[in-house]
Amino acid sequence: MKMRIAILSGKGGTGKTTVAVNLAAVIPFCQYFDCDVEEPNGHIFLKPIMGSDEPVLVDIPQINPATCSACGSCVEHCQFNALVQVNNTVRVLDKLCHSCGACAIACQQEAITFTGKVIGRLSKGLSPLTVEYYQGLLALGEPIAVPIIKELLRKVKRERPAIIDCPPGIGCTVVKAIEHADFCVLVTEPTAFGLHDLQLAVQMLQAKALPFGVVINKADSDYCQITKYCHQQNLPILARVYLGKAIAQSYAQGKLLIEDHDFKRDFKSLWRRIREEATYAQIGSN
Amino acid sequence: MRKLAVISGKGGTGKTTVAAALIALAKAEVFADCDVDAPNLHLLFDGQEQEVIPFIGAKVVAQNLQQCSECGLCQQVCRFEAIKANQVLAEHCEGCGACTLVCPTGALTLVDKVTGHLKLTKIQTGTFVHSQLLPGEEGTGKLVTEVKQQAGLACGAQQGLIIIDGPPGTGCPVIATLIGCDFVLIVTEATLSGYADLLRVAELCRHFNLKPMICINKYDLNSEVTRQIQHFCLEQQLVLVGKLPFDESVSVNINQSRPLIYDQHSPAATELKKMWRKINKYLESDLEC
Repeated sequence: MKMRIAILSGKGGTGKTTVAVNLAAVIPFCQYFDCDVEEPNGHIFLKPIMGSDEPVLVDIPQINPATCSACGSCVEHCQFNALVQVNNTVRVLDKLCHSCGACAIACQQEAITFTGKVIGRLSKGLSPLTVEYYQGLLALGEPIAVPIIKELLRKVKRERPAIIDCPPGIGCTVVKAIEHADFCVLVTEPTAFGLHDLQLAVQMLQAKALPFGVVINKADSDYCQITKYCHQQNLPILARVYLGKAIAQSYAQGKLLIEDHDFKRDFKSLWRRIREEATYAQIGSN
Repeated sequence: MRKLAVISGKGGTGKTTVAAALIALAKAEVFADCDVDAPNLHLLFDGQEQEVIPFIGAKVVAQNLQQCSECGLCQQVCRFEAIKANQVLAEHCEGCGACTLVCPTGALTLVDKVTGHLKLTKIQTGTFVHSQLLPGEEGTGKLVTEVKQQAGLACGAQQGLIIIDGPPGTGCPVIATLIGCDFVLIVTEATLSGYADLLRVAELCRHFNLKPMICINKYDLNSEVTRQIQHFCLEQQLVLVGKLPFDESVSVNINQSRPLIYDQHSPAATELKKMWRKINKYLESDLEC
């Protein structure tokens, strides 16, 4: 089934990547996109043989000192404080620039052109498990990750299933990563922190009217508030993943859970469940 | 007044648990949660909410359809695909105002958008500055900066250490956290993912001329990775201030909204107390320099 599934969590460390890579490994002809471009880890588990690599560029304004009249119009209209006037020149603070082009529009002297600045890289590989692997990586010191996620997701081939491994949190990088998702999987853990951040993520997905279900990772705990919350809110619990210290040690070594027969069966069930829920959601919205 | 930020690179390594322990051990008079997306520190420190300040994290374009001449110029200049068929799609709008500069009829204006809230909470030992970004909203880096500024104001002219629970990653929320900090503690974990992310976030600290202290959480999950991290610290001349064992009582304490160090039976709590003594020595030796 051709589907784009985003795996997110709110809280970091609940097991987004664990769920994403193990799902990708059991789905035939799957594409995996590591959209945690600040700290991508999917490659540790899928072990792709890397192929191509390309830079991601953003437009940064260049001010021609010969034609600039230092009127300050560009500075006044930049909403991101990325331009500063210093005596009779204008300096560009490129790390604050959002590449919107407003400065060039505001400029009365046509003194502004744009050049590309590299802020990161996209790479592609093939995992021994025949997962097509895609990764974005933000250059260290660069603050803005969204353009990399945007470029990375242009590579999604709609005719094959795609797993989108999202960054932690519920901010703009996650919003970009879940765009155009057919279904979202919220990975949580049975702790008070997990519950708090799950509620934030649920709010976000409900506001965007994106269909989703919940996976409770590290489920070997008697903290029952997550289950209670899901039942109260009528949220489908797609799976519970039981780990324990031995499995945590295996994860620490970069092993896929599905190397174990029982986990392989469980992740195949999870994929079936996701397809079912996504289909109900589609029927419901039509 | 000096600032110590607790960061990690990888999410879920234990930043908040460790930060809470240090805050309790230091009896910090001012502390802050800069994980503005998914803040958790307030779950361990209850108090009286003193002030809630709306945070304007972005602007967005407001469209007066009656004034629109449907010339399409706005759509031509918008680089964020936020205008389609002469309609502004607010969820894609980055608030740059480019469209307002080309609109011939004044149908488009930029308006402020509240994207979160700053909170100042009075607790037993002092002031806790935290916040919540509205889910899916913009302005994370700005909100982090506001939180730190408020923490600075709360400290005033006092001497002391502001302890900051930081966000995961290496992008703008972490950079905004690190700017102006005097000390950094990276909480990593003994997993290949934790180690890979430590390398990147340690490099980011170097970028900002900061020499981080390192703490290895769940060190007994993988002795080989722990060895690699220890070797990395030696190589980079970074101080390893603590190694915390995998400890199931950590979740139990979190779920009871209790900073870990109050649990006398927790092996991780015992190590945290040793770690604080080491950190304190490091901070004091820096004062003497």
